[in-house]
Amino acid sequence: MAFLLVQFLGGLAAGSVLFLVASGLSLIFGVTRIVNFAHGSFTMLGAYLAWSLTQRLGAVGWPGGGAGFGLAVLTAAATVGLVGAVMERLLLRRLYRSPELFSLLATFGVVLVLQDTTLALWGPEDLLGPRVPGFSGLVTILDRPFPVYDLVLIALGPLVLGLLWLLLYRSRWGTQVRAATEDREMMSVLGIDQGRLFSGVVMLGSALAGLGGALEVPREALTLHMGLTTIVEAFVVVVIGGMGSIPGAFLAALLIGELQAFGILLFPKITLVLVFLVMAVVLVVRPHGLLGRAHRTGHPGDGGQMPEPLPAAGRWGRVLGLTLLAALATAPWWTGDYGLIVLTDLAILGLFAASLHFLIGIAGLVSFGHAAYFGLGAYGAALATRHFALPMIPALAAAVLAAALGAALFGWFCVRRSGVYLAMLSLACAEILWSVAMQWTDVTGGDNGILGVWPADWAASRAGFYWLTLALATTTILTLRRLAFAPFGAALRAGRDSERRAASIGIPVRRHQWLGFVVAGTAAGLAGGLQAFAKGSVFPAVLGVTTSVDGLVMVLLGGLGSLAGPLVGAGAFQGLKGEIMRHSDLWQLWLGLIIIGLVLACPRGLTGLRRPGSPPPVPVPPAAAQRPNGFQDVPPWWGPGVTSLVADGPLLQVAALTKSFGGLRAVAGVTFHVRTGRMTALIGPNGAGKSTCFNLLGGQLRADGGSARLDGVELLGRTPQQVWRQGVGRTFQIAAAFSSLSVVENVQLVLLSSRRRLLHLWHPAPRLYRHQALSLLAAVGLAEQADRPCAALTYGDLKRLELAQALAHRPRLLLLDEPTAGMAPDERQALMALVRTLVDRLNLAVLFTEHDMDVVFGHADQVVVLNHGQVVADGTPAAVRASTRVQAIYLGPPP
Amino acid sequence: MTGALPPSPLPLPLLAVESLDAWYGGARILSGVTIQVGAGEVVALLGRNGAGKTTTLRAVFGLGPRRRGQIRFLDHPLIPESPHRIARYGLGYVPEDRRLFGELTVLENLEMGRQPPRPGRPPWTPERLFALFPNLGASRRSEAGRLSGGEQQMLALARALMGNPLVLMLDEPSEGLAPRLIQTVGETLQGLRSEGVGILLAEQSLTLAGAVADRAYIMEKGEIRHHAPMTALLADPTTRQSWLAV
Repeated sequence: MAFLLVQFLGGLAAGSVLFLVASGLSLIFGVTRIVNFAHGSFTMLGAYLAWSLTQRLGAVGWPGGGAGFGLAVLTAAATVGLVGAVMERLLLRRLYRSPELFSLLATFGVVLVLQDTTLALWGPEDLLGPRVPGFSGLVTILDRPFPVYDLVLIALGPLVLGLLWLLLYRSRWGTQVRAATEDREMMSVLGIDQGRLFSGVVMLGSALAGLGGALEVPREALTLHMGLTTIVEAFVVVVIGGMGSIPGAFLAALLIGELQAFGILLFPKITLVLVFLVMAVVLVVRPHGLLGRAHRTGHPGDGGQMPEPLPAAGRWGRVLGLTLLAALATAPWWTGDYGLIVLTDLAILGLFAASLHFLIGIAGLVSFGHAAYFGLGAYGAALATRHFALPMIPALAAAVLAAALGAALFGWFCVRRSGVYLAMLSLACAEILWSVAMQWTDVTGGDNGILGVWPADWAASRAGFYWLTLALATTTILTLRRLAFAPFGAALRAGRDSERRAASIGIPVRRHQWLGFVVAGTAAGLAGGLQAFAKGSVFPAVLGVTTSVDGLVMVLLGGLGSLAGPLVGAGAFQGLKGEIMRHSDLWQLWLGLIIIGLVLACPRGLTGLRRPGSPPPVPVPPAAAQRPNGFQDVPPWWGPGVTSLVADGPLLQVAALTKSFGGLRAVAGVTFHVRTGRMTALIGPNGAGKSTCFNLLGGQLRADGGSARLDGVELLGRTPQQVWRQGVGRTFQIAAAFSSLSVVENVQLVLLSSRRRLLHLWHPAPRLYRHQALSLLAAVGLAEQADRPCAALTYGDLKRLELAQALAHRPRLLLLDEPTAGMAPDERQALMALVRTLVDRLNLAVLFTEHDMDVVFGHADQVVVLNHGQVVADGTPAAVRASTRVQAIYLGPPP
Repeated sequence: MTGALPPSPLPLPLLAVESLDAWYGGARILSGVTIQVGAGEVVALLGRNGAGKTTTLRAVFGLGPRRRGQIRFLDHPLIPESPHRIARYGLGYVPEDRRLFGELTVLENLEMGRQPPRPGRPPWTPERLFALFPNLGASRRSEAGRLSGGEQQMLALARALMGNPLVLMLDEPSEGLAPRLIQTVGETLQGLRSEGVGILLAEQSLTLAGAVADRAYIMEKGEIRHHAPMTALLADPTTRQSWLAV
């Protein structure tokens, strides 16, 4: 009993320190949205500074004893705070508008710089801190000794929590911090200087990291690994507690502290895994952590660029690639053993980076734990060779299989989260594997690794293995490339551009992402397997954070926007590392500075340098009204339309449709019918519930009650994909397109989806159904824009593109949400005339919302008027126009 | 197309936008936008969805689009200038989607908007605002995110007033409001006008703008296409129909 209590108190003390560090990280993330990788390094810096200060103060015989230590701790914390403020001023401030990933890369550069600075100033030896005078003794708790110092720490946690709470909830500065967590841009609109606020927050957060580090001095030996271990633990705490929640961080820190204290007792074999298992479970059960809330992200002013179409290689790209490949293939004749070792490494890293790029750049899944699959491959190959005595090729197959299975398992969880949470969950997966490799010594050899993993005799020579590696890596990279351009890759990119739109054209986004995860993991597994044979051994480090981070650095360095990016990045990273190591012992320092410089100078990565920052200027298209409405006849490839089963009845029957948001009844019992061959307008003032109705019918929102039957089939309760498969096409109020696909590819993707050929893996998507897509584009007057990037389209043309997309699966019912908004009057008439043609020729039913009364009364066969979520009129345009009630509520009081 | 400029009510406008061009990426969104807002006048900026009204307001405030041209506020050039300094000069902005701090209370939202009083004007205080919008006073300790849509719009307006603006820009304040609330907003704007505040009101419909505005600019495709006193616009159904279609 007493033993358990002491163990419990020890856990609390550790949790307290962890809380200090994690609260700083959480604070910084909450306000600046920057995941500060350097936070752990700040903790390390705080510890080393405090160690030096106590040494000095101890040497001059500081009279106060404990007070002297306290002074040293506070000075260290304050100094670290200043370092943080400097980092914010010089670096982060320039990156607030860049994508999250780049600030991450920049702070990783800071990690490298601080790592080597610490090494240079304090040396590589572990340092032991002094006992704190005055607090060095032990107290007896239920006959058990317990360090007094730990009691102080236990008290300190809640104290800091309380102070932070007072600061955040009882001061104007704190209110500003909380407000900035929600909406940074609005802060500046209200006259609050973001820059100063952010500097302050980063300073405070960094000081907390320094404080946590300084307080560790009397407890633990200081090592240069502190930074990395701390940042991983702090991430875990922040993610479990909820990003940005200070009380959440407190709870989570204590939880982790206790887990570590008791884990050793209960499950000595899996102590390391335990923490990450808990984090994975929390993330799966509570996506935003224990006390976290979902934050809205991505305001127009908050930065973040729309991805652009993936550039194809082009003739020169191909020539360059082939030349390079030829040069590489002949390497054994022009370079020596050392050169071949370097090139073998490079091929493996290139493959690893390409697989991570597939995950991040194509599927949009930012993984922090890609080492998991690299490591699974490496261990798979090593275990197959050493334990099952398999020859090299089957062992490589085992490597690929192990990675694929691992990716299938972990990926299933990971794709259910997004953003930082996805990143952390993937990191947790990798750390779990790392822990297993460390602790399951019977099988993995633990820290000692697995030795003697040598290639087969025929590939035993340096040149032989190099050729094998080059061949496998090249084939796999080309396959990944092929996949990226295939319908599968196009659908992945579409899901990344806009999940909602992708779902509404029938793409099962999650399933695709999951498959993408498996593909990327499998390729990484091959790289890992090759690595095992290249080195002849496997150690847990292949699964470690460093491996994952190296991959991220390579991918980001090269740039996300091009498939050549990861290869360039791998080359640059490895080249820089090698070159610097040759000239300086402090290679991390220089590499860090170079990374920081690159992030600031070319935030689009090295391959982004080539391309201009904005889309090419748009040649003026012919006036929209004069464009041919090319829809002459139903094209033969379209197949026969589905005839309604309900003879003469309405195609869509909406009855008593209801939806509330909080206390607001947005749609309150709406009933109306839509008939085939007719255009029905749903009108009403802003906020009347039109868009909500649309989103309920399209499956984007879940109704509270009522029914919506399409040809007798209930639409409510179905997902957007299912609704779409029932033959409902839709456009959105704010027109947009999949920005990483060209105009014609946007339509091709819908055709591919409607013919269930999204999993087509080989043929490049741009070649499939191109003819059909072009005729649809011609139908809406966009033929000339077909091969442009969507960013070059005017708003009106985006609307036309959306219409072409909605038509592509030959819908029975078309939902058009403000189809002509943002168009010139004559353009509006032309578009609606086109829609009318479609309705007549294809026997479509159209339901549309619109503010333009000319459009409504000029084109609708039936008008349904909503106000405050209820139908106030339903009839012919003439009848509705004559209604004084409609006049009053919709058109406003007569001027 | 462009109507003759009616005489400006004051020799020196508070806010003067001249030949403003703006881009998002490579796409030009605004070209040659010229707008003046004097003290004590309500100026409407009308146009359809997508005409460029919101971009104009954001460009004036330095939020996002790349800008070229001249914007002067009092004696300060606003290009280049950071948004928080523009706000401190006395320019207020109520964005279209309200942008309240949903997890902060009503009172805290107001405090976030507080700026020092301007000489010669009574400063806005939460109490004064609660007298104007009693619903807000009743829920002063509630989280802003829990307010109804109408109350949120009131709070967004009240928060902007806490900055004691000399010129206030509002983006579609009548959107989603019941007629009675639109009337309240209209009365508030008229009250501000009588205190000498200049108001730039971006709207799609004439429901609010027709009732309170003195002059109107009409935008289409990023350009000012028409400029007239509101009375003239109200008497001219053809113009209304061709540019606004309401």
